[in-house]
Amino acid sequence: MTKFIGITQVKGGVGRSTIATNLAALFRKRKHTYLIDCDMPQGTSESWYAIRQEARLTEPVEGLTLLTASSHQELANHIDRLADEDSYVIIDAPPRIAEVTRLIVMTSDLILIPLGASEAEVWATNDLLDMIEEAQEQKDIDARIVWNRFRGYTKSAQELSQTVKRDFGLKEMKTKLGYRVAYVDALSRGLSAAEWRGPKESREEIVNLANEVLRIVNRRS
Amino acid sequence: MAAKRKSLRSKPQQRVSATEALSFAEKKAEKESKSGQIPDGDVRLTANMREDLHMKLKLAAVQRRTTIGELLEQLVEENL
Repeated sequence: MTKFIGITQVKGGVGRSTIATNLAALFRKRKHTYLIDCDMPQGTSESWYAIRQEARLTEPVEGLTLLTASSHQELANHIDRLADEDSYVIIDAPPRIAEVTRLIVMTSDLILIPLGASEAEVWATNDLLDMIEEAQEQKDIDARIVWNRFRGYTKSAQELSQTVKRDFGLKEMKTKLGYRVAYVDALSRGLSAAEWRGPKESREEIVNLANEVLRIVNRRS
Repeated sequence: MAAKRKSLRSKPQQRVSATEALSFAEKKAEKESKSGQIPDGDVRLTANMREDLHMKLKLAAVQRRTTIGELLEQLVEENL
């Protein structure tokens, strides 16, 4: 059965596409993976895939298919068509509360919410949490925070992490992604951080995140 | 920080098809989101553009680690 992973956050520039593209590049090694870019026409994931193809890195594109969805109906058609395959589907949501995001929340096996350790990003998450609570009335929703650009050595980051955990009622992924240039460098080259010749910390972090996500979604029937 | 939220209840896992989820997706949120508002001093621009040029613009933005909006601002400032 296909597993759907939605990456969603209503504030732009928080790392949705970075996480989506990195997971897609790693998951394709396990099973055929679809990456659906719903943030059109911005299309960062689409651009990343285009760069990957342009570089003629044929091996890293094998097993990975890029789809786009400009409307929730288009996304619904993709999801219904892919549901009976044995694949992974990573959905890069748009940075807004709209029909597309609501559909992603309702149909995903796991929702990842990138969150930076800043008050502004935390405030922006409230609308999304309202919608997740609303969805929870109808279906068990597994939504988890992924700390991104996390400077865990700072007191403010640690305090914010504790506050969010206490007040949001959401689980958080054990793996936290640090504040690393390697993620930006890899994205701009159509690569994942695991493929890019950056520091091993970024390669290890993203592999750990991917493995943690797979453990969660593969536990669910 | 927002008031403490109730913990999300646990229910037996169920898969919802996209077709079934459409009714939830199309339901208007009760609380209007403030996300996506235009910052003070900015205007929102909608323009038609050739598809190949649009892809070129998107790729340039990603490679320069910036947004399309900021790249367009820079191009206007430099060329007009």
